[in-house]
Order: sequence, then C-alpha cells, then structure tokens
Amino acid sequence: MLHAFDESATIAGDLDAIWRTVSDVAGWSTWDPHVLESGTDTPFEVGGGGWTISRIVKGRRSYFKLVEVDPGRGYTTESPMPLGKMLIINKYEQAGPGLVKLSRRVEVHGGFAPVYGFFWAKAFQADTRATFEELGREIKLRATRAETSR
Amino acid sequence: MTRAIVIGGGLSGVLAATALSHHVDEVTVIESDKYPEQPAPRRGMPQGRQNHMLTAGGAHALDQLLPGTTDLLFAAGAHKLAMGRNILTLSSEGWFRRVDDDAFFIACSRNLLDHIVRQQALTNPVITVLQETKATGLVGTASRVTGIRYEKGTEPEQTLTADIVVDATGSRSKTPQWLTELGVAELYEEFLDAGLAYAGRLYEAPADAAADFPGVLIQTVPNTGKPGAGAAFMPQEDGRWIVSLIGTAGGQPPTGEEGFMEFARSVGNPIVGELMARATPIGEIKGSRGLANRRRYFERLTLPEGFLALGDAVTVLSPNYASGMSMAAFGALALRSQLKSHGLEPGLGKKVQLDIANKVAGPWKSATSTDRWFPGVRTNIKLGKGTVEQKLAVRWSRVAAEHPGLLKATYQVATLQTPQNKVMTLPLMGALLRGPQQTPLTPAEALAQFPQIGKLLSSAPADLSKVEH
Repeated sequence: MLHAFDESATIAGDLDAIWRTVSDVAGWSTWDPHVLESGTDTPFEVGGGGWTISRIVKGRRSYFKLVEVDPGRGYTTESPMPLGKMLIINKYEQAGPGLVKLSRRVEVHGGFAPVYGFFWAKAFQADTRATFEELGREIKLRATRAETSR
Repeated sequence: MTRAIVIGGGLSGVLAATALSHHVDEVTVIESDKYPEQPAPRRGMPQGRQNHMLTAGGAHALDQLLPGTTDLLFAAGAHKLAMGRNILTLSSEGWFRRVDDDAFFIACSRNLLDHIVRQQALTNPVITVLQETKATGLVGTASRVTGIRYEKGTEPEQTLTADIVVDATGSRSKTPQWLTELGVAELYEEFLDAGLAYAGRLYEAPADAAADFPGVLIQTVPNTGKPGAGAAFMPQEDGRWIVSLIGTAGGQPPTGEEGFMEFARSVGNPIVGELMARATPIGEIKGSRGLANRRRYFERLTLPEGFLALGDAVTVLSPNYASGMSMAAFGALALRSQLKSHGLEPGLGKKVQLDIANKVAGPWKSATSTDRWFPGVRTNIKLGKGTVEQKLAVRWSRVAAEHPGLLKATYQVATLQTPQNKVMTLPLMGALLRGPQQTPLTPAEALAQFPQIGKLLSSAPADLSKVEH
C-alpha cells in the first residue's frame, strides 16, 4: 500500500545558500515551522541521519536516515513507520536567474499508509507548503545577516 | 508590519527574542544595561560573579534555539562535567560513588555564557536592542497589551507599540504592579525563603592541577536543626576555578578573608578549603543574598492578550538547584513551539504560561520540599507535615549514594533531562524499598575515585577524614 503527495514552490535564492540551509539538520528547528526540535550526530551524507519533533506529532522524536544525498540538488530520508516506512524525497533545481524550484514528494509505504493518509497527510502537506515559504524567508534573512556582518 | 517587544536583555530576553524572530517582522529588546564588548560583569546581573551551571536539559534547549552554542562554549574553555564521572559529591546521606553516566552540567562563567549567546543571537537582523533603556510600564487594557512605555537617559518617556510584549526582566520584574495598573487581577505569588546566601571567589588553578580536574559539590543538609552549609567548587574557562560557599539563615557564609576559608573548611568536608588553599585568589570575595524560591502563577491569571512572561520573572529557584539558565532556555523554547503551532493568535500567552508551569512544577516542588526543612525558613506556602516525603527523600539519597541505577535517575532529574515523576521504574522502586545494602564510602574512598585531587593534595597531605553530615 502507498500513500503519496507532491508539493513544489519556487523561491528567490541560490542553490548553494539553499543547500547550506537544508543540509544543516540541527538548524531546521530554527526556521522550519513544521519542526519543533531537531538534531543529528552525523554528517549530512548517505548512512547519516537524525531526528525531529514535528508540530503535527508533538512530544515524540521521529528518527530518519539519509538514503540518498546529491549535494546541492536534493536528498531523500527514510523513517520507520508501523508496518512500513516513509520516504521524503527533496529536490532543488535552478528555475531562472536567482530562482530555485523546491519540490518534495512524500511516500508512505506499507500497511500504515491508509491510516497516515486519513489522519496526518493533509496537515503534513500543508506544513510542506509552510516549510517552503519559510525557507524563502530564511534564505533572505541569512543573506542580510551575512551582509551586515561584513 | 508586526513587532514584538522583549523587556530585559539578559539570557532569557535574548533567547525569547530569538524565538520570536521568525514570527514577527521586528523584535525590539529593551535593556537597561550597556552590554560589555567582551565576557565581563554587568550591573544588571550581580549574580554573574557566583558559580553558574547549565544543566544538560538546558544545554539541549539552548542548542535548539541557537544551534552550535554549546560547541562555542566548549571552544571558549567551558567544561562539560558528567555528574557521575567528573563531580565529587557529598550529599546529605554520604558520598556518591562514581558511575558511568552522561548526565552533565556545563561549567563556565556566566559572563562567558551570556556573551556567546549574545554573539550568536544578536547578529539576527530582525532583532534590535535598545541598550541603557528602561521600561516604565505596559500600555493597553486588562484585555490586551499594545505596547510599553520606556525611558532612555534624560529623554522624556516614550511609547512603543507591539503585537506582543514579553517580560524577561527577572525576579525583580515589575509586571505584577504593571498588570494591576491595567486592571488585571492580582497575580498570585508563592515564596519560600531559607535565608540562603552565597559567598564566591575566583581562583587561578595551580599549575600542576590536571586539565580535567573534577568539580566538587558539598550539598547543604536540611532537617538537622542547624543552618545548612555547603560548597561548590567548579573549573571555569581560562584555567580558573570558582568557589561558592553556601549557607542558610543563621549560618550564612562570611565575605571576609579569614572567615571565608574557615567556613570552607567547616562544611561537610574540608576538601574545598584544601583546594582553595592551593590556588591563587583572584579579586574580592563577592556575596549574594535574597536567593529565595519564588513562583508567580501567571497561568492562573486571565492574562491580557499580547503579553507573557518568561524566565526568572515567572519562577526563580534558589541557586542550589542550578536551574535558572535552563529555565530561561525552556521558556524560550516553549514560546517558539507555541508560536510554530499557533502563531500570534489569541491565547498564545496562556498556552506558553501553561507550558512553563508544567516544566517548572517538578523542580519547584523538589526545591520547596527540601528548603522548607532549614531553620528560620519564611514562606507563604501552606505546607503539609511532609514527614513521609522527607523520609522518602532521605532514603532516596542514601540508596542513590550506592546504587548506580538510582544515582543515574537522580542525575537525570538534577540535570533537568527527565522529570522526577518519569524516572521511577520497578527495579528502582525495589532498590528503594530494600534500602541501603552497603556501608557508605569513607572520605578517603570517595576521594580515591578522583586521582586528580589526590595528586594535587599529595605535596602537603591534609586531614580530610571529617564527616559532619
């Protein structure tokens, strides 16, 4: 069984700045509205991983492993789910001068997929849109901060 | 455009500003002091000259708010002290055995910690600090706070509007009075004052002291009929040590040269005095008083929208519990979590105050149910007899001194990683019911667990056999 959804958005910024932000797991909780807390003890590479506490499932850590990392272009995480797993596939592409297209596909595989689809998918999809919007703001903020500290 | 005002630019205020910075267009911090350029004391933080310890739980919260902060602290010389491996502790019921456990404290000067947090946080372009500026009141009504009044130097009083105002001014907060002026019901406040006082001093560590020299805690002992007396000895950055001597009403530590050393040698064991005698004092002995436990029940109040309070403005525990900086971080993290879930919508203040109250409840109960047993205690809390509680606390401490599992649970609670009501397991309950099974460690056995201490003292051996508890 599979439950999946796709989201995408285009934001201002450059691929390097976006990659620096999304590959900093410890920093996710500082800007991503979906993530209340986050952490990692490993480098951002295949075989590494970390944990998050989301605002959808509060009070409990969800652990993930990095199963694919294409520096600057995207990464995929895998998290255990009851009777299956969740894959989150993130991709970043240049969409014109100073513009980057963000896309995310979420796939829940296994017997839990219908339950996930019924209870959490809608909120998670809405949060993905909020994450993209806030990533745009964070990139601007970091650029201003870098400019100020020069 | 949305604006948040944070009153108070200490640790709690700076962390609150960080939490708010992703949810409003502009954060203005009102700070009465001028920040030092380097890690240095400032007028508004007199407690900065005493021993400060950041719990593991607080360190986690700090890194969630400002990732990488603890790494910067360690790079600047802060020490990570695992309670089971790097701190020699004499509790009310004897010396704790060394145990392999990761629950830790970060030991460094408060000045260094605040400086690094400011460096991390205040490069955020959303945050502006108005230094040498004093908030003089809240603007709004009993149902909504819309800003503050403030003064800067000799300029006339001004008003600044905001969508949300956060009080992070600490234990001397004027909020109770300001809320009353807006027509809000009186804020209920509890206090329990054991007359605790600190006397502290910095030392240059002897050249032959090991780089991993342990900390030493001689805990104050309640319910003996005598004033509590204790000592904390901790390594700091830059090859320094800090000593804080601790006493409750009727037994407060002196701040004069001679009495200071005498007091250090008179607490449960003279080890701290012996270490002081081998180090070089830096500067004067500094005293701190007025260290009562105090809790303001904001969560019970019908708070005006657009207002909340954090940190010591809500609850301050006596410094023996090393919880102040951690509670500041927990409060800011609670604010950020609620902002992520609910934004600036009505009810935000109440939700944050409830989260803080939940976090504070355990440490508050633990602190007040211990400190109540010191002679001369003053309180407005209606205390029950508490004798069963007291006997349980004594047994817990006595068994923990020899039982690794219970000791690890104690450290989890002390470092604010796990609440006390969540650490108990059936095997631990069994150990507690069985009671102590071994003879307590002698001072010699306890000290032998830390060869760094023995090595330093070996040049002029001292009599450390005294056990007064």
